[in-house]
Amino acid sequence: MTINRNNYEAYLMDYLDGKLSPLAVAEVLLLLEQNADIKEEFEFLSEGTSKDSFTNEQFEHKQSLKKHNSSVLVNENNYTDFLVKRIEKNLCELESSELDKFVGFYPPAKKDLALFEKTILQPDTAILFNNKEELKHNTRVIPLFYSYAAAAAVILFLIALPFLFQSTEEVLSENAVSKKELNASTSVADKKEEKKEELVVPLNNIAKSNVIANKAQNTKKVVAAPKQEKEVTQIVVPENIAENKKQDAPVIQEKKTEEPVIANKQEKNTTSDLPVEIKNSSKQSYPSLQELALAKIKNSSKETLIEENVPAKAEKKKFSGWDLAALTAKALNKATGKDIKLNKEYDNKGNVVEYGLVADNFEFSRSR
Amino acid sequence: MTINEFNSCVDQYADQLYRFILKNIKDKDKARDIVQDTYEKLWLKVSDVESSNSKSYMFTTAYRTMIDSIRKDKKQADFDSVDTNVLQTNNRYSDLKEVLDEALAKLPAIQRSVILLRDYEGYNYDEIGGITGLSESQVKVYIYRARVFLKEYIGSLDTVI
Repeated sequence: MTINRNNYEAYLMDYLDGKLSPLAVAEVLLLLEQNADIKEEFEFLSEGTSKDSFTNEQFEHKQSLKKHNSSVLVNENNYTDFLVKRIEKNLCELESSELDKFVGFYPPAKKDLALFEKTILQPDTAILFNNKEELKHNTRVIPLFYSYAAAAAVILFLIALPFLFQSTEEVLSENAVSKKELNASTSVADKKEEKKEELVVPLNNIAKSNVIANKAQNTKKVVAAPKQEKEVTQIVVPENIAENKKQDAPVIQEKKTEEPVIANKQEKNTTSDLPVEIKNSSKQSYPSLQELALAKIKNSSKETLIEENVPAKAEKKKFSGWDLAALTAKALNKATGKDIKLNKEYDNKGNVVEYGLVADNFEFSRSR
Repeated sequence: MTINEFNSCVDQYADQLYRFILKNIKDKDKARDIVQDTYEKLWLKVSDVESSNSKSYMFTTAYRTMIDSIRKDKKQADFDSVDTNVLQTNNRYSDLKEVLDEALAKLPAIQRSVILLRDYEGYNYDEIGGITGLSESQVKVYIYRARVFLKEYIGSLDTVI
């Protein structure tokens, strides 16, 4: 056994613990004498493990660890612990009986026991949580169809919204235009009525009789009148009549010889006066929006067209984006049994200012 | 846990949870919110929580939610800051319940919680430790301190005694 700088630590520890043989002890002491640094380290270790350093240290709570004889189990210093254990129901039979004995001859303990018993809290059953129903979850199974239907409705409504605004704006603007036009053309309308009457009279006269040349001469005013009459005759009146209408009064007079043929045709239909034909024909075939727009642009005589076509246009405009949304909502209400409503809000002037969709747990609105 | 079991939990434990939280924070609205949050959290875990463990789960969740709420509102008292020696009061009480409520309010939050769980719900130390995140020995210590505090508070009021 040789102690050197590489293995001296273990020997030092064994030396401090007294486990080395006399020979090893001699070797350790020799090493310490030969190496000052190891000796210094050894002295530091020996101080740390010196028995003298522990002799003054004492554990202060020895008494609390000791188990007492039954006669001194509960005393003036520890009875509070036993009282709390009594309240907590943590006492064994021996401890419980000893505590009872102690409480019996020590009044402060009895008083404290009464106080501790009062510290047991009792729940106030008057305090209730009132929103239990809100916390519960329904077991009703919602069919997948409803989800799809709801999603489709929302999509349709969103798609319809731009049309809804557009159509409303158009209707409003058209109403405004038509009002203006109507107001502006009230005087013109009177004139038109007169013109129609004037138109009726000569045509009737032409149809029924070719004798009344003087009355037919009155058509000079009509024929000489404006282009709208050309339009009217172009739309409805047979070509031969239209040609007649396009011609000047003297020409009409010249063609009166041919008119009886027309008159005969019309006489077969006893109720088919020309104005009636005009009205019927206009009811049967309304011009489309495109045609109407083109006619509006092209036609210089707006009053006649507006007067005749606005009702048709209005009918076309009746099915707007709003109607689409309303139909969708109605269909959804039927399908799901829920109450989905579409609302409009108006301002003082009667203009729509806001649209809204209201369902059970959902509300959406959009201002204009 | 099924939906019916969940709804049964609402009927069985909502009141107890509400009382427990209300006694802790003394704020009805917040107590209601915490109970609702607790059940929402339970609903999210409804498939994972066994019906037999639901009460413990809810009290644990409610307690932690309450602590989070208290911390958020910066109303959490320092657990060990209450001076148990200062118990003198001039108020006159005729009702022990009022005195206990006031004493309870003066307890540190953690002591209040453990003693409420102990007395209101009858949980043992281990269960309370599970709910509050404390060790069993810590729970015992806090309950001991709370009992002594309440007893001394009550004892300081002659009218009650």
